[in-house]
Amino acid sequence: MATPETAALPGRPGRGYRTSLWQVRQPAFWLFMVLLVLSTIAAVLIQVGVLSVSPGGWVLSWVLLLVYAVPAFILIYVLDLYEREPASLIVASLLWGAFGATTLTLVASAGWDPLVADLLGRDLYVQWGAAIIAPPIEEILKGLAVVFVILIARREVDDVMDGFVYGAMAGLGFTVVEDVLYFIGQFGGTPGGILEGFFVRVVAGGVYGHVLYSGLFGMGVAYFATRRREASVGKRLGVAGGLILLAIGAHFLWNSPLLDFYPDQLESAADYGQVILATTAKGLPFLAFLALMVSMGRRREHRWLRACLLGEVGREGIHPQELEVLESPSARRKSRREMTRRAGPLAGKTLKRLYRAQITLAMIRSKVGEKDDHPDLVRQRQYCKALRDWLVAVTGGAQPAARPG
Amino acid sequence: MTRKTGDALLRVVTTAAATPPAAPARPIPRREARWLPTLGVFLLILFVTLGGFLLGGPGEIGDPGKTTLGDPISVSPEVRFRPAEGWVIEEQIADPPQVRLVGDIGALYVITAPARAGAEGLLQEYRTTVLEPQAGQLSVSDPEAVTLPAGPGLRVSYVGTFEGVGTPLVGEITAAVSPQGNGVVFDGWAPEGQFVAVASDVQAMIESAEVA
Repeated sequence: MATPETAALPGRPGRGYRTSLWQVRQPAFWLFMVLLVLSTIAAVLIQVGVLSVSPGGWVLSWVLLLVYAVPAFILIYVLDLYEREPASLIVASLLWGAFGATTLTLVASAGWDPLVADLLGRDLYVQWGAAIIAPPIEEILKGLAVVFVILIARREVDDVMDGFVYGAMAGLGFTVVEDVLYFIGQFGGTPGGILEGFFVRVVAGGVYGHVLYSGLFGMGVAYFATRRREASVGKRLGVAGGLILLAIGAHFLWNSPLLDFYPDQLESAADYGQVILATTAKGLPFLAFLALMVSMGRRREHRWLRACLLGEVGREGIHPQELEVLESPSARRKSRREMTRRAGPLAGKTLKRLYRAQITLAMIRSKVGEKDDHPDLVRQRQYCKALRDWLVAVTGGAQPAARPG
Repeated sequence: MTRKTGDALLRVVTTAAATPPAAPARPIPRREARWLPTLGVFLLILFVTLGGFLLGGPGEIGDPGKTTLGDPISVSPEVRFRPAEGWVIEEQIADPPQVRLVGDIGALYVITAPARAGAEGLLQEYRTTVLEPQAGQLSVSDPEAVTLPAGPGLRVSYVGTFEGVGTPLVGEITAAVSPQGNGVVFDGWAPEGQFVAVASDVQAMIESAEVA
């Protein structure tokens, strides 16, 4: 029997069907990079200004927000079940939200604020100005992250879930930088004020904020871009427009005096409970809708995987019992754990590679259509087989991807 | 080579030259540069970020000419100004001469003093004796020279948190000194994000000031 030490692991075939951010022939790439670099310089200067007002508060704000942002990042990333998006595009979306959208929002608000104040009059502006000005500006600027990804790397956005992931990442970046400014500017920058701000904006309202709005916006953009073969232009415009308006509407409600159940002061435990009720009243219906959309998107991804691999099951790339495991993230995790227990960490990692290779096989199958003997398809099948053979060898003949009991 | 074979070969060669076999298709289509949508995105960004400035026009933002002013208020025998419509006196004190006006959103505090060290000294004195003692966190801009009907002056902007006020305040302090050495300080403020709504009123009141 071969052991992990003696048997050489099969090498990966070329990356082939993945597209990174670095598409230097796309004009959108250069527009994106120029705007991102300039706005990042401006954003860093703003952060330096905030740091000078309250150095300790600035550090505390970032620490607290990273505690929130890191798990949120992972959660958004893994919601995309099969085709995890390229890291460069994910990071680009996050940075666009954090620096590009926030800086451009500051510029835009300086122009639109006086105009809207003038149009509404003082009283209406005080009550409704934040609800009317911020949502369209911020949602459009954040949502451009998804538009840029589509223009730069069209191949990487093939369903609404991809739009959700890129949009939500932009929303996450935006909310972290905005919260730092809020914690120092509006909550005073003292430890007590920052903790109060963290409770109001992150603990009580974090799940209803920019991640939600931008996720909806991204789904709308992705729907329009990816359903050319399935839906008419009118339907695509209608659904995309509806989702984008819903994102702006959710933000509008959040900023407006409607359903405003916030307490005047935060002094007792009851006040804190009231904040949670207030944020829930404004945000829960939209979060429920987003959850429904994400659930539908994931079911669609299941169907996509099965349809793509239907012609492959039984060939050397994937066996029927492997497809069963591949379709269930929890079954994949259990199977990997079982493999690690039986044959060591390297075998567990190799099984993970086999699953990824089989998902890539599905992607290649969807791109090349009916060409059964396409060289990329053949190469990927052989790669999957080589990984399986390696696993069989190190485990003494057991089928690697059998559903664990 | 027979003539028949030679003709056939010639036919093959000429046919091949006239209609070359199709090149094999790329497995993945080449990515076309998308200029038009990129231009559309660029225009959208321009509109969203700069549209407010363009549609508002240069005279619309904080235009003091649009404010209706009331009858003059005397702060001291040397200083008087006209309050904007909707602004009322909340407090007036004779010694040292000062008045505090409030509007729907913001407030304007006016105090007079002899200005032996010019507008710069007056501004610094106000900042250290009035503004900073009341502030928790405070960020103040560098002074900017302004020319008012009352005389040359200096202006700074600030943002900060203040005792007894739940939200941060944004404001502008303007210090001016008349040729006779009489000084006046105007401090107008409003909650953060709303100063823009009172800026034109504050500006109009400052510009209406007469300092003997």
